[in-house]
Amino acid sequence: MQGSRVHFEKVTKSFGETVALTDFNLDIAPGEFVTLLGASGSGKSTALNILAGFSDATSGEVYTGDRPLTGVAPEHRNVGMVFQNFALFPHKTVAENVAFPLRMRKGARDEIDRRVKAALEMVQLGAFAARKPAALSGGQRQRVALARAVVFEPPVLLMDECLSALDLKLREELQDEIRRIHREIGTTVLFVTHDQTEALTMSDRIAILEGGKIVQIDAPEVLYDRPRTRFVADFIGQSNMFDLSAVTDGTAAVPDMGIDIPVSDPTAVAISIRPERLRVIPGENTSGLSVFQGVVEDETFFGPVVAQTVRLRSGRRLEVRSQRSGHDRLPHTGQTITLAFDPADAAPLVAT
Amino acid sequence: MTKRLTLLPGIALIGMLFLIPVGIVFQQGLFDPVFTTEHFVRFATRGAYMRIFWSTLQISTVVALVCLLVGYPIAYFIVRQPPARRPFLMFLVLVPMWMSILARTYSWMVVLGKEGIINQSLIWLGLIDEPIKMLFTTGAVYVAMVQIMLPILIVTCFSSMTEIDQSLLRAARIMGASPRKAFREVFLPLSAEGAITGTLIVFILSMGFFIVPALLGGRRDAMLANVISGQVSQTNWGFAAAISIVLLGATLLVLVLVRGASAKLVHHQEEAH
Repeated sequence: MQGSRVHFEKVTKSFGETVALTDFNLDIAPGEFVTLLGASGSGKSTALNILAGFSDATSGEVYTGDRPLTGVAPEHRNVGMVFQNFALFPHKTVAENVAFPLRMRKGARDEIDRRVKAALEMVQLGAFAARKPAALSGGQRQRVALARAVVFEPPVLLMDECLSALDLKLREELQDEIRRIHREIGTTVLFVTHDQTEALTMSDRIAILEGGKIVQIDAPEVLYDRPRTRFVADFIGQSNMFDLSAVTDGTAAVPDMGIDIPVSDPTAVAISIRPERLRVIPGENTSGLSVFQGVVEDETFFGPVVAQTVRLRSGRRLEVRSQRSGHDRLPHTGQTITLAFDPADAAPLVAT
Repeated sequence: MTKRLTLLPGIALIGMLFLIPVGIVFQQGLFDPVFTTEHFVRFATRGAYMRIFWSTLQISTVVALVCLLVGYPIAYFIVRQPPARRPFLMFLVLVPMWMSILARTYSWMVVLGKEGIINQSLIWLGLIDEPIKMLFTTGAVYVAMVQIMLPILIVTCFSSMTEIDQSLLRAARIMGASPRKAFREVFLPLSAEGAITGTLIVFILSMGFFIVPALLGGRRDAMLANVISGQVSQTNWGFAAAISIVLLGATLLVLVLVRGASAKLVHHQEEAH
């Protein structure tokens, strides 16, 4: 199966006074797995519903392939969808649920049977074909919903917060399974979630939504290492953010640390440093690193990792995460320590 | 054990107010003073009684089906409205139920009568010269019974429809079903249970209807309940009891048949896929 390109072009959507999407642009490559990540009310479900055809854009256009979708009814969009609550038909068996999209497309009986069987095998539910959804566990229902959404080999698959109803362990299992199926069938996936871990582990690219706009879209590791704004740095993972003085000649002061660091982006107003990128250094070998001091205030032991809260001279606190590798003993609460980081690990943040 | 104890008042109440009276009805109908089928033979062999029996069945069936045909779409329409507007629409449906059946039946006399609103309007408009006879006809009985029963069916359908998850219809659409197909494949089967229950309730209530045929029907529009009332007023207790038993039996029979058929239908539908 070939995934198709999905393209949102300057889409806006308002419900009366409320604006749900403003100037929403998104270009998804064929076969790509893109996640819309945002808090509730950020517009992610609105974007999904517009692509599915359940609601119309106020302006702008959505394309699958080269085909504009305005005015195309949901049943003619050839898009698969996994719903938040799975939306399995309670009066139909598992096999009847999965056969539904094929029946609507008027396939031959034996061809339908063959494909339903294959789809159920794919999600390891071949033995459950004759059951009603009510007789399945949450994870099994999720798998049926997935099989039903892909059985007709749609070039685009939409997933609407479909894992949030499940418990953590099951969710992780299904994340693996969804990625595997995505690799197998090669369809373009647009996944909607508010769970950053889910987004980071599953996506080729993640689009962070805030107030109906994409504030940053990048591969997970880029998003983590190089967040562009405070919102993104805060939304994805943990972060220490520090205000910068004005950048001059590629250098700016970090008043809270009492040091100057090189900053590549002249428009940066702050920096973000992930807790694990800060190093507690005992020795004096600090060439090329930015070094400053603070007092350990609190620590949390995680086994292989220790998280410490350090108070700087300015009163600002920051988080440090250290691996407990080797035999070096970590400083404890009350001790003054020297911290260092590679300026390249400090992501410059721009004002929004 | 305590769970069962709390049921005792209910059981006692049902026993005193329902089981014992029904027992007495059976005793009256079957013993006079020794066991006899005389009343039932009389009922079955007199053409007039059998004719009323069949017309009671017919009127109840037609009223129930008309209520279904009119009420189901109304309930569907209300369910499709934005949730904020539904309570007001349901309020409008329920308002007539707050008036006594007697008052509503008399109102129909005002509407349908020779000097009634409809005849007056038609004459005023010049469409007719003579008033049309509407009151004391079978048609009047049907119209009034449907009007009285309709809210019951709408409420029953509405409550079963609101339980249908709207995302199921969206799911059907995105999987390739036209709105009509989505309705037939998903909404109709899921609301059928409520619709059948509502239709049966209307049927059961209609079988015992008394005031409407008595006040709005003609001489030949009497229903079984009217015959029972006539026999009671002539103190023919045994015969009245026997007709009551026939009425009860016929209603139960229809109930069982429809339930069985609908269960089979739903089952069959699933098999067919």
